[in-house]
Parts: sequence; C-alpha cells; structure tokens
Amino acid sequence: MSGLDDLLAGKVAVVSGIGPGMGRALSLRMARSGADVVLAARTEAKLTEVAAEVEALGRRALCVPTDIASPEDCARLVERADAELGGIDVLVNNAFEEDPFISFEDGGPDVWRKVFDTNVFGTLQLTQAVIPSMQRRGGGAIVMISTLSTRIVNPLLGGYAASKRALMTAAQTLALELGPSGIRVNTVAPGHIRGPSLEWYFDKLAAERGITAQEVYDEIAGLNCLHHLHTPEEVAGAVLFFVSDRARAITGQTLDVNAGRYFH
Amino acid sequence: MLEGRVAVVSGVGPGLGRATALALAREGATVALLARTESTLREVAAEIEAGGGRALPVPTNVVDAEQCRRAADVVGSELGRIDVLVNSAFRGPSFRRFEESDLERWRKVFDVNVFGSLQLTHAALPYLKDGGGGSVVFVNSMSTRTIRAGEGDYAASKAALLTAVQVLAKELGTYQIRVNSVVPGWIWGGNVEGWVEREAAARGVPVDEVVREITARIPQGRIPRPEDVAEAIVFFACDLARWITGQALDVNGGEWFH
Repeated sequence: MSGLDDLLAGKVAVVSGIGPGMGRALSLRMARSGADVVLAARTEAKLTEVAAEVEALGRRALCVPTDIASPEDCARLVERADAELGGIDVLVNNAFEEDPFISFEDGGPDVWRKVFDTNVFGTLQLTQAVIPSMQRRGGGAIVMISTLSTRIVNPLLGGYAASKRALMTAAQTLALELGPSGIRVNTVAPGHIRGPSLEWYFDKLAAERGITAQEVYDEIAGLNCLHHLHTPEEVAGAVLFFVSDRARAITGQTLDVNAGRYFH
Repeated sequence: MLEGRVAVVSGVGPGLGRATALALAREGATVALLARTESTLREVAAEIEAGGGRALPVPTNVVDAEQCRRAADVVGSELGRIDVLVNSAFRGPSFRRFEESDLERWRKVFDVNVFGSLQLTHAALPYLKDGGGGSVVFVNSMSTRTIRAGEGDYAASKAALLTAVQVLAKELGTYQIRVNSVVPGWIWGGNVEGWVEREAAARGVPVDEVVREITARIPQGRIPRPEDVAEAIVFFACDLARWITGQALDVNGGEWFH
C-alpha cells in the first residue's frame, strides 16, 4: 500500500465540531483518504454544507446534529452510524467551547465550568458512546484536538487552556485502559490556525497598534522556526496519520503541530 | 507520498534502518543506504529494487567526518539531491554501571550517537538547503524516558540528541529544513531478542516469561516491530508533517506517554 488515498479505505470516521475551519478540513481529509464521515455539530446547516463536499469526493456523509454535552444526542449519533454506516473506526474530537476572554478573578469557576462542560465532559461523553462501536469493529483510533494554549499559557484563556490540558491527561488514561481493546488514543496540539477567528484577532491587534494585519501575521509567524501559521488542512494531515494504520504502535502520545513555536 | 524525493538512511542493518529504507522506498523515494557493512547494504538495496524501488548503497562509517562528507557528495552527484535524512546509526549501551565503566566507553558511544549523527547532518546540509528545505529525523530511544542502570552512556548520548534536534529545528527553520525525533520503545528484533535471552539466562527463567513482563507494561500487549516504528519516520519525512519541527514522537505501544 502506498500513498494517501487509501489510508482509511473502508473506515468510518466521526468528526465533531463541524464548521467552516478545522471540522471541515478534517472531514474532507478523512474522505479523501477513503473514509465515510459522520458529521457532528449542533447547527445542521453547517453539517449539510460539508456533507455535500464529502459526497462530491465519492464518500458517504452522515449528518447528525449533535450537542456533545447531551448523552442522548451522543447515543443517537452512534446508533445512526452503526445502522447506516456499519459502525465507527475513527473519532476526531474537535468540538470545543471558546473562552469568553475573562480573567479568573472576574469570571470565577462558573465561567470555567461552562468551558469544561463542552471541552472535557462533552468530549468524554461522545467518546464513551463511541467505544462499544469501535470494540465491535475490533479496534479504532481516537484523536483529541488540543491547543498551543496548554503549552504557552496566556491570560484570559484559563478555562480553555486548563480544560484542554485535562483532556490531554484523560487521553493518556484512555490509552492505557483501551489499549487491550485495540483502541488507540492520541492528541494533536496545533498552534495558531488560520481562519476567520484568527483574522478577526489579527485585525483587532492591528487596529489597536496602528499597524497592518500582515505585519501582525509576520510578527506572530516569526516566533516559530518555519515562520508559518497553519491552515486547517495542514493540521488535518497530522490527524490523518494518527488515525491511520501507519500509527498502529502509537498510543497515549501528543504531537505538537506548531511550525516549531514550542517543542514537546 | 515521497515520489521524486531522495532519502538518506544511516545505520542500515537488519532492524530499524532496513525497515525505514524499505518504507521510504515504498512511498516512492530513492534511498541512499549508509552503514559500515557493504554486504548488508547490497542485500537491502536488492530488496528495494525487487520491489520496484531505487537504492544506492554508500558504505560509510559515520564516526569519520570525511566519510560523511564523501557520502553526502556521492548521493548529491549520483542522485542529484537530498530531501530526507534519517539518522538511525547508533552504538548501543556498554551495559556497565558508571562506577565500573570508564569515560572512554562513554566517549565511544557519544562519538557515534551524537557526533556521528551531527557530522552526517552537517554534511547533508548544503544539499538539503539547495533543494529548498527538507526533513531530518533522528532516531532516539526509550533509554531517555525510563532510566535503567548500566545504560548511562547510551541514554545520555540520546538525551543530548533530543536537545540537539530542537536547536537544529530553530537554526535550520529559516531554510525550511524540519528536524524531529522518533522515540521508539522496545523494538522486537535481533538486539532485543538477544537482550531478552541474556536476561532470561541470567535469572534462570524462560524467555517467554521475560517477554510477558515486557508486554504486561505495554497497553497494546505487543512489542512494536521495526516496521511500526518506520511508519513514524516516514510520516515526519513526508508532507503530512510539512509544518512540524522540533518535536519528539514516541512509538511504544503506549508503554509510557510523552
């Protein structure tokens, strides 16, 4: 076997957090490598757009509007994937709740709890629902999408950073517990990802400092070895490796995809 | 995934070096095979060619800086470029505790593992730069993760490499050269089989029992094979990892987490 096109041939992949950025890129990357894709997010309109693109690649797409914080939603997603696509081999936990950019002192633990409800408990909810389906298929691969914010800690992102760090350790526990079932669990920790959110942030910084957005980009990209900020597609390449059979002896690990901004 | 690329692999013997060369060739790379023993290189080259790939044996002792320069120049002139360098040549531990060892033994291990790898990398740099960038992978070791008595020379040399990789990632990033470590755990093959047999004999227990003790610590319940580890090296070599540098990826069936 050679090349990328058949790395996930015959596999079914669930991707949570479908939107125009990372979720879309992950879904299309999986589909291009031969997987059928189960698309999970709360907003159905976002799912159908990506589903059309997956189908244009010749793969099947299953849209399941899902709030990962809801056990019923997660159970329904798995039921439909089992019934309509035959089971689940891959789960990419990409859904996340953004931080409201408020300090711990001003926001307090309740603000953090809301972020943890999605990033930790929602992710674990969906993961727990998916495990039996993977076990029936004889194994599987799970990837948690983490963040550079766990490596380089900034103010006003406490709930986000701490929740993603919790997930990193949870992934290691799951790797230990699920190893005997043939299920691998790894984490990919991306740095800044290009897209509307980052553009908004760069525009804001540029306006505050009276410089151009390109100057902000150059400055921030200049902090890493390769002077580059990732597109979602580039991050999806690392995720593809972890969920493919190529990573069959890798579990419980974290790979930082950040152009050399932080070394792990 | 590596069509049209030229890869150099040092330390091509019966184990990981061979598996890596075969995996790179499977993805379309032309592979230059480096090690001291020419007969082994010819065998692996024949295997690659039998599979429809291209290989170039270049007998090289990485301890000799002149031989490293010559090897890089031979690859450059015969194959036109270097896109990928895999430093897998190594000298194993002397299995002597520090107080019973002498620094000459440590120095010999460092000469291969640190300076040999750095010499070859240095020699390959002009070619990697000429091609507009590339990927350098250093094979590291579980000895840096779980410290065992009697492996100080080997463990410390590999630990130096972990940091050297990060320094090189920082310095060579401007040339778009990526530098990463792959950190294997146990790899089932000649070295580990030999170690398991010696351990079993020393303790007067069956070989299977020693193997079971190892697999009991691995969540996947299986000792990874050279082919499993080679896939992580191929990943770092190819464009899926185009923007990953300075990182270490552990391939160990989950025995420990990094």
